[in-house]
Amino acid sequence: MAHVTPRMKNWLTGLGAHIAVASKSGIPAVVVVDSATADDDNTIRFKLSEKQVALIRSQVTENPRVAFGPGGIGSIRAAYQFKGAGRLEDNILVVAVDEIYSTKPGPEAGLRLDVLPYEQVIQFETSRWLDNGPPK
Amino acid sequence: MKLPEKLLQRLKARSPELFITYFATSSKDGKTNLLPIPFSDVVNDELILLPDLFAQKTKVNLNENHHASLSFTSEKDGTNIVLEGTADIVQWGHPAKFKIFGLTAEDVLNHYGDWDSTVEPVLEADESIRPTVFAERGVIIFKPERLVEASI
Repeated sequence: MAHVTPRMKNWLTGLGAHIAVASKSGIPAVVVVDSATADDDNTIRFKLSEKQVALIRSQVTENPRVAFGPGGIGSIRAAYQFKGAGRLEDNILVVAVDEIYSTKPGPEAGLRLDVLPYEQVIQFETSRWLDNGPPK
Repeated sequence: MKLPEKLLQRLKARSPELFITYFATSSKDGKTNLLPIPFSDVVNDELILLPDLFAQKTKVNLNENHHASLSFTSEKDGTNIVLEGTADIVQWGHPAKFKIFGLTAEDVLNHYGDWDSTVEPVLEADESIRPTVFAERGVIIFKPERLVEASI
């Protein structure tokens, strides 16, 4: 399982995420949520509307692979992509994150962070960003 | 489909409060990928052009599966818009007259293919953090087919 850092959690809980799922045959569907909660260091929960649940239920059921990235300006200032296994608990999408990537355009795009030692990921963050979450 | 007028106006005006945030693709077997991406232009009110920022996984996915989704967020009013459709990449190296979605490769690349003359010096990054393979830069063309009201 991947280790979601405090900065990552702050951006996700503060601004939500764009969440992509796909059918087994690869047709993607995206929902946008404006907040999230973090259960622990690798489980993120998103509260969905009824319409959103209806939109992605069949995909998540047949193919649990989920990708998401921080919403709003988080797409720029918190350039991470998270991947994991998702499941629906009523109207909550629960994702157990098992891969984390940098999506910073340029040479670091696609850099896989979850395979680095945790201290190195923190160092990666602190050397690139001064904030620890979205502006209040 | 023609883009919704409200969205079209904002894209054409290049409203600073409107970001194209994520371009979603998937492998043929359903592994999704999300790419944060800026917006280049709209053509014929129905095609959205996006720069290929060395988007390796996106390129791999589009090579095997053209289904894609594009989601927008407005920082100003919180509006979110999700479009579903198909996409392809025009790449340097394509024959000049090669056509994608009715657009000719040379027209697209000559106009948009060198979009960033101040591109980050990708080859100067430390090898320890540098991707081992760089995608050839090009232009992603997204053809929306559906506005997904239920996505928000």
